[in-house]
Amino acid sequence: MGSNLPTDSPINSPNNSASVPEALLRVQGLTKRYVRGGLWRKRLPVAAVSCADFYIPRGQTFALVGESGSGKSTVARCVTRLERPDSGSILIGGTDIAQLMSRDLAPFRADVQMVFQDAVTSMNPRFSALDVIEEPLLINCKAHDTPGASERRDLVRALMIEVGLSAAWMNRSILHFSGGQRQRLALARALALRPQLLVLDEALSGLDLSTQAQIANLLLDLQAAHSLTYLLISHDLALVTLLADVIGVMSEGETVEVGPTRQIISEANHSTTKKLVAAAKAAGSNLAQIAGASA
Amino acid sequence: MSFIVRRLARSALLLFGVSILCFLFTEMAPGSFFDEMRLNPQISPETIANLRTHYGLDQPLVVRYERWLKSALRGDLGISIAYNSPVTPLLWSRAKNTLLLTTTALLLTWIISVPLGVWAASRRGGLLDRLITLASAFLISVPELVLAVALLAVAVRWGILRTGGMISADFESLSMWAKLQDVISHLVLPVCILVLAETAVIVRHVRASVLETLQSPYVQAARGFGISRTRLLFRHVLPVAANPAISLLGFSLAGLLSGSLMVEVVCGWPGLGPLILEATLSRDLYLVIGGIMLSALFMVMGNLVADMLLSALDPRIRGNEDKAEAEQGLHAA
Repeated sequence: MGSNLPTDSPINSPNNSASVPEALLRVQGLTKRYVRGGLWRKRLPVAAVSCADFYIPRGQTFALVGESGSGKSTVARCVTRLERPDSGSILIGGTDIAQLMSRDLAPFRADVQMVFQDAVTSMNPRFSALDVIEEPLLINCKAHDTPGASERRDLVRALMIEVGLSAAWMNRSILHFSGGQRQRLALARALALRPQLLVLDEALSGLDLSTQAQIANLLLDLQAAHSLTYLLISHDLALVTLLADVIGVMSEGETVEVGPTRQIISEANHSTTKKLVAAAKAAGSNLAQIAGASA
Repeated sequence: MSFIVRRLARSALLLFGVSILCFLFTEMAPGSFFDEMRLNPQISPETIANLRTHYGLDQPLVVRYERWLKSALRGDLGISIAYNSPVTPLLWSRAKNTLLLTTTALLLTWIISVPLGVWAASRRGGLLDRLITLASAFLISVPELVLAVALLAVAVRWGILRTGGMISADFESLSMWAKLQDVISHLVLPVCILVLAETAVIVRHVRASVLETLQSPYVQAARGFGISRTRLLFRHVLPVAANPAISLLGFSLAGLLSGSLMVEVVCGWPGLGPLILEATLSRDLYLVIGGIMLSALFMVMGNLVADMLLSALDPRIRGNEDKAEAEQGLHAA
């Protein structure tokens, strides 16, 4: 797969330049297979990710794009250790978390948080906004000093205001929030543990354009305020160009192309990248402007 | 409160509908209680005609239904022709035994099924999960009658369980404690049959429900925070997975009652089963209708309890009820 990568891509030059910032996340040779079949059928392994390689410098946004089924979400689930990879390494601040046992993952859980595509189903339907946001604080009580009830309420209040929600809605059931508001809640929940890396798995998909733009701006504001690093999973190249510093393209479980956003848009090498760029241009996005500016 | 009143009103309406259908179907069914009497040369046609008049069977269907309804409102459910006595006391004396059997079976079924279903789901694909899936598939595919006869045969051959009836012949001479032991020893076989048949169904439902909840994104999100297995199960999975299981409780109660009728006949348990079977074979009209109405009442009450539990436990259902009430209020305005 290395042959598809441009020679000046970050993946090929992670260590040789003083200008390259310190990598917060480094994924190397990641593979993940699922077994299909069951009680009555032959169990067959299906490779979801056959070789993923990329790294994200601290404070930057790395977008992993690709067609449906290319393995993007599996990479996200491996990075957050919702899935255990079969092989390869996931280095966070120099520690490989790929093969750590569940009990040893606790210190890293707070550093890496995930925001899911469907905010509606990613929260317990019986919870209030307060319950949703304070849950990570309660779960991580052993790894961190658990704040008391009133301190937690203050934290939740501050987080809600930070993501643009009224703190007066704290005790409302999440069922009373709109899709966009729930995505803000999901962001507040993810921020509760003050993570370094946020994995945004299609977090802006399924929202209307205006809400998408609002959440995208919010993400940029939060990144600036907290020096957050984003791993953005998306199939929407047009949206990705607004947020990402570097884009990685996945096809059939492999990262086939990695490079700075403008370079990927204007000088796509791999056929999958070309297809994605063409589709985004056909959709009348701002890619043409970006490509023009970079030319 | 208005939720309960509304549900009670709906239940009454449902029972009213069931009673009408009962009368229509029994009218359409061939034969009558007096058919055998007609074959007896010692009983004159006049006597039979007088008996029909006595029980009001010579009246049109609407009149008979009206009389029965009035009698039901008084709590009698009509008169049994075979026993020549009001139906309600006849049913009640047997219903107590059926209730003892079904309540015990229901409790045991749920005590066994819920942990097994949760256990199987939380270890999906494991040996225990496969064993539970296989065993439940087998038990579901075996007709309850076959299961009952097989267990009865085993019990009789090996003499490990008391069979036939609810009490021993010397029951009256026993001490209080011995009486209790005697009833329990007779209860074991029919309860085992009912529990085996029902557990197979409920385990699968609980497993499916827990599996679905375990795969939901909010559980994945909680796992991303490093949640412990116990907290995940008790705070996130079980409260949500309980909804379909609670809905099933109502049907389970009704299913146990109808299942218990057959099991009672096979095991000789003096419950509603043998009484209703006997009434059906002899076409004792009002006793059959009374039995069906009691069965429908069990089902309605089971569903009512399930709805009330769901409403109490799930804010979404309460929210929907409130919304429906508000909409009704708006329409009324």
